[in-house]
Amino acid sequence: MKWISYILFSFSIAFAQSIDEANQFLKSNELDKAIASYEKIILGGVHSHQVYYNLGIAYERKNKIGLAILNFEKANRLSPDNDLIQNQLDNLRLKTIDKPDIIINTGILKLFRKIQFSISYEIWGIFSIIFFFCIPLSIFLTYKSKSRLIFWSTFIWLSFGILCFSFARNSYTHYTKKEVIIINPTINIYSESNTESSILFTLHEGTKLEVISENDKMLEILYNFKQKGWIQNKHVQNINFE
Amino acid sequence: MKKHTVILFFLLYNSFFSFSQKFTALVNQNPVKANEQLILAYRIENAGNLNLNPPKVDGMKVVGGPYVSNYSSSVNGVSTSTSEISFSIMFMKEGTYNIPPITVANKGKKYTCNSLTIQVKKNDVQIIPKGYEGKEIYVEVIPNKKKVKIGEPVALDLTIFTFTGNLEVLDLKIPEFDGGWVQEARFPLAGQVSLSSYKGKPYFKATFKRYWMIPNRLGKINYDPVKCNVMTHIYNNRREEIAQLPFDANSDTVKFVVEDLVSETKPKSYQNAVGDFEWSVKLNKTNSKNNEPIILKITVKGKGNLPLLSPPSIDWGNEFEIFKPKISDDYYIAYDGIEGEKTFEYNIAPKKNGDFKINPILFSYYNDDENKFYELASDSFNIHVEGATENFVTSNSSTPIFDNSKLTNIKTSSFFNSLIYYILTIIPFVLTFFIFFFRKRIFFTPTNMIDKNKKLAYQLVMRKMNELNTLDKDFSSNLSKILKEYIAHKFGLNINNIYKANLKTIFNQEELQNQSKQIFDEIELTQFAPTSNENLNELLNKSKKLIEMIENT
Repeated sequence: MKWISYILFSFSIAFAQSIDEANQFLKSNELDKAIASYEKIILGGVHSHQVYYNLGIAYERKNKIGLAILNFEKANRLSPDNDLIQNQLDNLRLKTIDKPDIIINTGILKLFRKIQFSISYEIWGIFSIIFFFCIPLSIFLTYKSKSRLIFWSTFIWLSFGILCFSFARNSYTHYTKKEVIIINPTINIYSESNTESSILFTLHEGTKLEVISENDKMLEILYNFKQKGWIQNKHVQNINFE
Repeated sequence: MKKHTVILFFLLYNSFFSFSQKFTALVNQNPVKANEQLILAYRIENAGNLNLNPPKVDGMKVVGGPYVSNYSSSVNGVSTSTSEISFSIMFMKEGTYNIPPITVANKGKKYTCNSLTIQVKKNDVQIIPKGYEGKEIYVEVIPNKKKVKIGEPVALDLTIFTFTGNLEVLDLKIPEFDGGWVQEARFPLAGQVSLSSYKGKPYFKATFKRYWMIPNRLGKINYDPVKCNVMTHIYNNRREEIAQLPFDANSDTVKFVVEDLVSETKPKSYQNAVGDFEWSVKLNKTNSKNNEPIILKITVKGKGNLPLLSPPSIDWGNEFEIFKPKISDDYYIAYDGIEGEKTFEYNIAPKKNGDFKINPILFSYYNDDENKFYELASDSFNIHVEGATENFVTSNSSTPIFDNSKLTNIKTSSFFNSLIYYILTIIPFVLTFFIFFFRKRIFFTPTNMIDKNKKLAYQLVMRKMNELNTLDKDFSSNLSKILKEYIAHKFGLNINNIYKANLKTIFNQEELQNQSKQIFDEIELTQFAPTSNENLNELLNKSKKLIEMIENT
């Protein structure tokens, strides 16, 4: 048992050293070294918004807008309510050529979004199960004690359960939604899944696209909520963590 | 009534069918000749807007579209909204072609259209007229320069060399370019034909598009071939069309060598600006109180590589916290260059009180026409700061970074959305239904049922007694019957075994025995002797009291 804790301890020290080292490279503007270090940390299985954010900063300083946006989007997926990440994304989007519509949540929707992303979808999922289990318990106690109050509480558990489930579902969709970022400076959007088909329109580096379907070489995408078409998958990179 | 029903049915029928949905595919001509354009349209009624691509059919070529149109009509009170999407198509060879049905999803419903069978006949006009055999059409991408500097805008003209001026470009495929930025320019004189020569032969020349390219990579970069599908129209001397000749033309790959701007005269402040620029640098105020931020606005105006222009490098010193600039673009891509302005807006937050100076800001650009660097310098700015509190997050860089080895590592494995999660979600609902359907077995024992029956017997007898009327001639016999029924039900006895002599064996308590005997005696008396209404009421009340006494024992 002792040797397991020793290995874990050594691993965490080595890990902290590598992240410190990467941060030092970034601070001293040794961008290639910083990028290599962060990529190595990510390859080691670490999915952290801090690492993706710093990697995005490194790419941004190298003027690689597409890769910078890709990493900020990844950081945004892991920490959707982080203002720092959101500001960086907003700033970078000003530099991109394509300007798709952006949905801004205000008022009650903004509050719901804040609550939704305050905890992970796994926790919301567990809460929903707990509330759903309160329903049979309430029914049982209603028959046992003949209390009307307990009977009416059933509807409260059901409402809370559904609310937690919807938070979990939305949060999970945000996390797993299949989206890509254009890495090439310019790409064509084709009408069919082959490059011989007609070109519908052109898009540029850094633009986010939603993936509808895919085959070996092409992806069917949705741009700006309404325009559909096909692109070559070699020109884009996935935001998903796969 | 019947008449009204018929009218109502008619109205409902009409209103229901006015919203029926129909999805159809149609063509504007059938049969059609090979290499002749026709319109393939998809039309949907009362189901919102259409968004689809035509199916892939061997030998069919989509040469134009999608063209979208929406309209609504009202005939005899029946309103119809129609959405139509159409494409220009063409069949290359004669034969019979089947365009399969397609299915679209709209507003949560799926609609499938009809299939179409198109007869394509041989195109007689296709016979190449005399004098046009072996004619070719060429497309070229003509750059205004091939040796370019990094960041220097290059014009790419798409030019056709043709034997006739009567032609239309049916399809154009622009290559994807990974060597930098490319955008199409506004070209008011597109397609103007002039006489020229190509490979030593006389041709008409028409430049139909212009693109601006800005290389952002050093070394050799290629602009891949442009693919073009052109239809020419041949006319005779009487201006009658005698032939339509299709041509596929591909341009050659254009190779560029991108060189770095290495020069002894290159200023230290040079970032990547190439073109001809002027600029303005403005501070919104020179006095800051209570940590109020100061905004520095740099506007670069002119013609050049504005889309890729980087902000100037500024020495801010240690007295200010500088946030990343807000960048806004306002340029247009014209035929003769990219012109407009780019603004960099810096938020400057003073760290401490005092008088500070921002040294002159330098901006350099390379003028590609004059092969010369220019350096522009702003004035220096004096800033007076009061009431600043030192609560800033300081960093070496203008962009804050996460500087902590303790990371939030998020696991990508998921309990939510797994089979176990859904099983656990379903279990409570199954349990709820189980409890609900088996509630009698779980919660109600035989003792409960007896108690419930007794309670019901009491409620029933009281209701019957309340319904009794003392003026009724059968009042006494009815009261006797109700009491006997109640006692029989309450003690599980046969009603025939309940009589006065038997009351002592039924009730254990003496009081009950006496009370019940007395009531039955009075009932007997009232049956045979006239009794006042008051006495009858008193008898009824006594009976009620007896029942309550029995219930309480």
